[in-house]
Amino acid sequence: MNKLISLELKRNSLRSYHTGVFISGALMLGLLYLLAVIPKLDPSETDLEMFMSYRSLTGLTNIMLMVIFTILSAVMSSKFIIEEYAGKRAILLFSYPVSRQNVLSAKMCMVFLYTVIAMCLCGTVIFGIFFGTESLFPICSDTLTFPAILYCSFSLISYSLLAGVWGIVALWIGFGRQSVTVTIVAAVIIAIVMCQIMAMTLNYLVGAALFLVIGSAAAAIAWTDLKRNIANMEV
Amino acid sequence: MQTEFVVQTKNLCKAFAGKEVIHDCTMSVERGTIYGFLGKNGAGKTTVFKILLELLKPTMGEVSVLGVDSSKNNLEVLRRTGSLIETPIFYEHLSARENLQLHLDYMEMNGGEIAETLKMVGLSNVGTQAVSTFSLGMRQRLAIARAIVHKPELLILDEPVNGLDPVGIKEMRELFCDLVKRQKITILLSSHILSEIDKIADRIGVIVNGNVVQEISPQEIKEKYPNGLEDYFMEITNGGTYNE
Repeated sequence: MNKLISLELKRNSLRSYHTGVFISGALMLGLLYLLAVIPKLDPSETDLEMFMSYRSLTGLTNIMLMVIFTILSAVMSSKFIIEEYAGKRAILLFSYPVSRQNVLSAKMCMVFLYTVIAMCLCGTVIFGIFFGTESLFPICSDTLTFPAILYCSFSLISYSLLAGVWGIVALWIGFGRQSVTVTIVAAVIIAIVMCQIMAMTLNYLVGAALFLVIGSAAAAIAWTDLKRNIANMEV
Repeated sequence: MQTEFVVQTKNLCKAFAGKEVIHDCTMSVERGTIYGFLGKNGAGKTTVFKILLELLKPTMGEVSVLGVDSSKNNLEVLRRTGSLIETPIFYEHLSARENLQLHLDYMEMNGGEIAETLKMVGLSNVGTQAVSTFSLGMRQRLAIARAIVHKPELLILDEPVNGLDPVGIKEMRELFCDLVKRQKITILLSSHILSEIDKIADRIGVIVNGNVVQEISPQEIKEKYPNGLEDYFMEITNGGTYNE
């Protein structure tokens, strides 16, 4: 599997995705500071508790990162999987003496791992800079504590994994129609719906854990079905 | 001495959405020979090739490639076969060398002779040029290189000289003959250029409406059709099934 993943990396350029991750990170960092500043813009406004604690700010940021990286995962899946198996390109893949399911699994692993690792790294840099400046020149009225940072870390990891699994589910939906458009639209819809639901469990990691279990189950079903489709595919 | 067949099909059938495109197709390709597979557009040549490589599953019938039932162990068949099916696909941003190296990696072969193979197909001067800049003829040559770089026992080539100029066609003809003579490779190829098939094929099979109506040697064709392969082909594809 490692060899297949390295072959995938050899033949596909990830440079544009690195650029996308960097730009997303920069924008999210700006947005995080903006959210932190909102209570100070209008001190008389009383309905802004959400922006006055580190748990809420990091939770909100992680949810938005999850949306971004779910869509990124769908874009990558479209390029590396949907386009490869659509039309005549699959003839080349299927002419190699390698199990079709293993090739597909390698592609899906690559996309999943890139999504999760990129989001974790992106989030680490964002929160590293934010907490660094907050420790010196605090904007948020909350006190920066170790439990808050720990919560942020677990939240980041959970939402990174969620971005990965929802990306797989979006791929499953798009693969059925052999359509790049359907994959990306599915990812957008899933991400937005999840975003709304998980905003309600913002301060409780239990909510994220529950959705991770549900998402993982859906992703496992998607993975199995995709492997079955590939095994029976004719080109 | 018993003849060894590298490719054998028996009563092969393939249907798409209820419509039979290959029916009762029986053919055999002897080891160390060049088998020219002829037929009109839409006769089923590419479909048969795809069935041999398990890119399509037969509806009925038996298929044996290199002594292996390709429906049961097609990875073994793919390891020992080189193919060129329809329009060749490449990794456009990579060079010819990188495409071939990737191919060898997937074939789990180390130390393939990439430079030598590129020279054999007339692509020794492409350097680090991306495949996206290649002409049709260069892409076709690279496709042939990819089919032979891992030293297969069997080549399945679907119109391999498509897009080549007359010099290129001659070079590839000489290459195929050389591969059979020196490396004992078996070649199953289709082409619409009858003169080329006439020059290199040891045996010719003609497929009409999904059925191989005849397998015959070029010498027998010359005896019965002094004007050449074209007369034979026109007669047999226009409904005149010829019984030996």
